[in-house]
Amino acid sequence: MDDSHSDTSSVTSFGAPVIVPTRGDLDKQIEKLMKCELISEPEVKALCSKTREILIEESNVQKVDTPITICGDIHGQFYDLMELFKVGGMIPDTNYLFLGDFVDRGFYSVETILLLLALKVRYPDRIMLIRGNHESRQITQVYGFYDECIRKFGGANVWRWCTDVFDYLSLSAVIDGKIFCVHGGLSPSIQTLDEIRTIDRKQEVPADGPMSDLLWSDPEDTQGWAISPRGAGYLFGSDVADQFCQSNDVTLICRAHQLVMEGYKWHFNETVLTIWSAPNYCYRAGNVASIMEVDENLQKEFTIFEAAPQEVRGHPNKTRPPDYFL
Amino acid sequence: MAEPEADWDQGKLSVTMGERRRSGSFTDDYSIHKTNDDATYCKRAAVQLGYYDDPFINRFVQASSSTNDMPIRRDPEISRGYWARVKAFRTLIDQFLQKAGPSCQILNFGAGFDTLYWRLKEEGAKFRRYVDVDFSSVTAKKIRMIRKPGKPDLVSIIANDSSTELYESGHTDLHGGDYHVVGADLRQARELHEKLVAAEVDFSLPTVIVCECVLIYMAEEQSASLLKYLADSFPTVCFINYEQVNLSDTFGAVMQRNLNTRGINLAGMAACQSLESQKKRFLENGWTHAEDWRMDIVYSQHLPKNEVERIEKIEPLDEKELLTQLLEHYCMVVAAKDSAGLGLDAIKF
Repeated sequence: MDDSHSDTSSVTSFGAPVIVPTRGDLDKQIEKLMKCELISEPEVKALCSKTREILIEESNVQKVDTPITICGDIHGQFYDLMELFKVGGMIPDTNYLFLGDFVDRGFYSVETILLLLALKVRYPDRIMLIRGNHESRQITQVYGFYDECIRKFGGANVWRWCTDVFDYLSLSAVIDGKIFCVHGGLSPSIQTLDEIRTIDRKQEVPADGPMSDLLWSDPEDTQGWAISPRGAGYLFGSDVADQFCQSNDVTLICRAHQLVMEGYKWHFNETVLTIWSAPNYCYRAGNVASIMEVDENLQKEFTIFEAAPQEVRGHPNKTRPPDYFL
Repeated sequence: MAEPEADWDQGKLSVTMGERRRSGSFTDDYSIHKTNDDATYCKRAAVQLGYYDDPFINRFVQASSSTNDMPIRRDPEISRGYWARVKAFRTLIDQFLQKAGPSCQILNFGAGFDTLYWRLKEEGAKFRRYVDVDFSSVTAKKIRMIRKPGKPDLVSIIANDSSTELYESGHTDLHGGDYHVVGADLRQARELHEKLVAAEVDFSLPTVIVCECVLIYMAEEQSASLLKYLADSFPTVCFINYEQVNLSDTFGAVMQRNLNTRGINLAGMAACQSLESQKKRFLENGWTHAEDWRMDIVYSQHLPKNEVERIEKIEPLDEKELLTQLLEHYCMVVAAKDSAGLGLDAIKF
């Protein structure tokens, strides 16, 4: 691991120069965040600034090497992310690709995203984060990340810095040139990876268009394209997936974005795969979660895991119980 | 002069309540009261975003000190589900009002802070009598909120002419004009009966009982004896029940665990295992008709399409499965006993 990320000379567009975290600072922050404890607001500011510098260098279709472990949605379920690391191994011993949706809906979006960003800055080559549809200013105001930032920091600064970082997250990754990874799915405006490379991604997720589609679309047992009930992205059929794989010489489209009760789900004769990594989603759904390890020979191995037991979760009074109709 | 039910309240009842709470064999009733607060906040959240109109709900949301742990925002699937519940109830209640005519009665069991009475009055619905029933600690709070000055004025809707006077007994019961709110434990038949009598309920009039997530908190034999009491007491009666169903899967197990950590014991889960068991509890206790619908079916097939389209535009729902899963675990039951032949057994979606 090189030390180039702990220099103190950088000036960012965050305004005044911010103190760049040293490796020692980062290790201390990671240690705190791993215990689900918050770091200070100036630390968050510096961390976000540094993350942006790293992310800006990444491609819209980031090349990633095996061996790597692929993870789906996390959604602020911090203690379940700890379970994930328990079964998948800790960074830097395991290389991870997270397919987006780090925040919203769970009780610990703030701790979750800050931990992932700290790990990214500390071990930039060991963890790859791509953007999900929840890494957006608009969506985080509906599904909890915004409220949580206000509650935990008494203001919107942390939310603003984090959502600024979101604009720099890559849109997709390709593992060993063979497995295309994206949060949602395909877009009718995109036939080739080169077309993804031409997108100017450094912006809020648009309401429609190719960038939005990559983050919002779903596979559906159909042919061609159909309107999505989500109100964004499209439903794409098996022929669309086949054509995309063929045109881009990939064997698999690996994505997240949809709750699957069994943790993962194959579609279309194994050309599309959904991975879901938030067990008992919203603390209510009763599903298991999974991660997929891909080795140097592109052999895939799934690990199923369940939600963290009640005993290891935070103080129950700090969290609101999951909603039902009562 | 103390009313007889006030004596009951202050003497024997409080003793028996205390005994029950200590015995540990009952759900902590306080936790059940909190479910009313939760439902009220969820409904308010939906109303504020424009899912449906309820000009009265704000009058029943308590001061900000208690809202700190109750953020206004709720996830869209929760607001959609509450909208569907309110809409579904109104669909069925409106059918009842039409069939039963202006001499009918509405009893709201486990009413909490439900604003149904005021919503019906505002829309000019015709009925003889409306009674809210809940634990006396809940009704006492409701009465305080009804009487508290504010807009819209709730008292003036109850006492809509100068001759109507409101009178209270034991701080838990309020009677005025066609509106009554009485404190009673639905698990105690004698107490309930006395309170219905005090509310001048006429057992011979066509009556609808509405019940939102209430029976599940009592043991199956307790809800069975309540249903039997009602079927025996009212010759022409309709019961509209909204509550959980299909609880035998993982979702049900998680729900039970989550609610347990809030001190809520789903003592009546057995009757909520299936649509069949929900119907059976009525048919075995003196009711001649029972029909039920899962809420996902009500939502997708029976609520007005244009309304569904409208509310689905209010907030995007990022994961439809979360709503579907919730709705699959709730149902509406319409049960009836129709001695007067009013067609109550034809009330349906």
